[in-house]
Amino acid sequence: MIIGCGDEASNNSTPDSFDRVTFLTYYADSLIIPEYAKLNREVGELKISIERFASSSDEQSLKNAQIAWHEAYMQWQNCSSFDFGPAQGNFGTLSEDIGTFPSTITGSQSKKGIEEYIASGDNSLSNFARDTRGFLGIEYLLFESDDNEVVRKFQSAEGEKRKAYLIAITNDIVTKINEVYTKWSQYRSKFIENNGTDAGSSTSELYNEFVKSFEALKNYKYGLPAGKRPGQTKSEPDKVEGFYSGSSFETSRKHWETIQRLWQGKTTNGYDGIGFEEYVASTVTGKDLVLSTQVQIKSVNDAFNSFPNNITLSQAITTNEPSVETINTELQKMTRFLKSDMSSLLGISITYSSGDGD
Amino acid sequence: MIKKISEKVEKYIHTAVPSSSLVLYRVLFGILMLISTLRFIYLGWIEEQYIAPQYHFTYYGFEFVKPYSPEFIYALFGGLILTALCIMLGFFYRVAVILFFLLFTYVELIDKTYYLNHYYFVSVISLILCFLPANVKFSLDSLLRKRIYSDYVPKYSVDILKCMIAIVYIYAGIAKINSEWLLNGMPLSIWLPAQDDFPFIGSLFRERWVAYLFSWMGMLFDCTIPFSLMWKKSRIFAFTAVIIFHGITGYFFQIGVFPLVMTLSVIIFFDSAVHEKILRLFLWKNTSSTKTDYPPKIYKPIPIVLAFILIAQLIIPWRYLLYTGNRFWTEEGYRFGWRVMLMEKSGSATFYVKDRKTGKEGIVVNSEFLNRHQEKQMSMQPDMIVQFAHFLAKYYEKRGVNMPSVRAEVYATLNGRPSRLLIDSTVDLTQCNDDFSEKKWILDYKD
Repeated sequence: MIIGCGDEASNNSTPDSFDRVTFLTYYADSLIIPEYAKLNREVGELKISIERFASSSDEQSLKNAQIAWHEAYMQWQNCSSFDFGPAQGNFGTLSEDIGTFPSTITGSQSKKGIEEYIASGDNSLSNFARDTRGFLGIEYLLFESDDNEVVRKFQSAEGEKRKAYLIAITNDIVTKINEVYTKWSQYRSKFIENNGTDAGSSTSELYNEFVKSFEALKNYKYGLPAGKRPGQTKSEPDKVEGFYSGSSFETSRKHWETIQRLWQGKTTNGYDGIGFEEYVASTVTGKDLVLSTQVQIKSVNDAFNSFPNNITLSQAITTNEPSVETINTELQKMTRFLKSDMSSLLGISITYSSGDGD
Repeated sequence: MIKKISEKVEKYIHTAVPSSSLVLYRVLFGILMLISTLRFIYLGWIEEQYIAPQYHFTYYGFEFVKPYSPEFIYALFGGLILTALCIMLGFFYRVAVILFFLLFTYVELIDKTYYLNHYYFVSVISLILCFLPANVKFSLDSLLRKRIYSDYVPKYSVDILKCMIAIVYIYAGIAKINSEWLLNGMPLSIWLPAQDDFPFIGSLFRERWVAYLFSWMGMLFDCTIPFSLMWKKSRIFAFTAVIIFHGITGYFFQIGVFPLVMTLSVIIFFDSAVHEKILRLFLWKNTSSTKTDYPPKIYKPIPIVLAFILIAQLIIPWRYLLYTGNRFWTEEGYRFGWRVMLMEKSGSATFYVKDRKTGKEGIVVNSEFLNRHQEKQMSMQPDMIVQFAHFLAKYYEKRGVNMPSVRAEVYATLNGRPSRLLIDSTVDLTQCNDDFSEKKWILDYKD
């Protein structure tokens, strides 16, 4: 270095080299595409089990469908943070299309719910009521009450309409996921080539959706049901993401693990490659930020670990289980590390508008 | 003594120069404004910046400036296109440039999120142009009304534009004379590595010394370029430097039409003979040079107004000195001072709205109210934070929160340092105002 003065606090080292092409290639080939492939298989399985359930409508086939749903939905948590590129549809993102919650079951005069669509035999899905379909629409139909009752509803006189609707919304997620997965094979090279840091670059899009996904976890999977929004006078435990299956804690934890993995650059097999962590570390004061982020990640993990084994998230919220509060707090503390500190150091543009020129 | 000075002033005011310089400036300004307005519309920014958002960060004292309705905002932009076209053609020039100034400034005043020094530059230049006879030739006005044709204009009308451009560069240069920029190589040490995909020499941008080199060169460039443009012998080199400098920054950073605006603006420093030649490139023949009005008639208040604008421009950037805090941190008196690309700052702001009756406190999701750009700007600028807090209080009061109090936990990072609290996170922001007084609730920034 030619000029060695300046205060030490802000001058750690010459940035290490960091190759965004390697980084993007690794994310595409090891973190994104294989997970979509798995999701594509899982929802294929789900479709088969649901068709079996629709034809036999007994408790055993319901059980199988429930298990298949759970596996597919867990796998969805590994993919829901990639809401850019192929996942960006004309009318919304894949997450909005297939992951909207809480579901509207019985609607109001102005807005139909799942039951109204079923009753009217409207399986077109040609509307913007995304809270009446998707993964959580299927969840409602498979888990709404005890298995006996669910089976009874499907066997009843109105059962055919119910089956048709269930199959329609299952096919819908299968088609949408397959479309995104297929598009990725063409999009891959574009994703890797677009290796700058300006708005619209792959790094910027990947990062933006990563942060959005984190905020969705914090605000909607925890904040909303826990009654953390202004104007909420009390908690609303039925607004958790997987209310009927009671899987909210497990799936939201999986979601957090994905956020963590995306930051670390870890695959679901546990391989730790060149990720955002290494990217941040390569910047001028990045090593400090990496350390503080790691510390906070550990705090969030500890918070998740303190959640009791034998209850659901909505039960925990109802009983004011303290670990929910801890999770909320620790996720809140995580925000600045992922949001402003990181984008600032990486020099990623997050909006298209012109900046102040020189 | 005083008499002598006033004689000199009198003489200066009546000195004339060829009108080609001013006229060319008008034409270029009109073309640029036309291009940049069309570009703005083409990119869909009217919708994104002025129609979609449900809240706008107005300027203190200009709260009445609103987008009102989509039709209204489209009409404003329609007016901008029309007036820019008229400026370019010199058609009803005075009316056009006055309207352009008002419309442009109105649009800029709608939301401080989108504040850019170069928009401010356009406002100031168009204000100055309101007082200059830039339509005396190469204009429809002078074709239609032959008597206004003139080959000469007062010297001050060209000088004031040069002065304004010099102010922009020199103040931008002075702003760079601080330890962060020169001794820490910040923020270029953050921004340059992000450009490492630059052809051939990209990998160099990860080297720390390159950031220092660019910092020092940038500072020296800004401080000296007006002088080297004024001096005839160095002018062509200076102009080359301007092209390279703005070319590089334009390539590196997402700064829109700004490089083009500055590059074309400095053309005014050339001799009027050069300007005449450029005008001829526009296929203009000097047809009616038979009768020229020399010296041009001077309407006395105009030089006085221009002098006033100039003095104001010299003073306004220093208003940050009225505040005690670190100007990069508090941003009090930061805008309108040609502090361009001077720091890397970013923040995360969490707002808590509390029902004073029940004591229940809720956490706001900013993105429900603000677009990404608004949220980004708000999260690091105290005046916007307090404005947003007032908005939230009103919003939630309507939705049943009793006498809401609003506090904000804002973590900001400056030039890559670990983020820290920007404002006192316990203060009820509904009790604080956004005005020109010092904001005591901003926390101190100490190294």
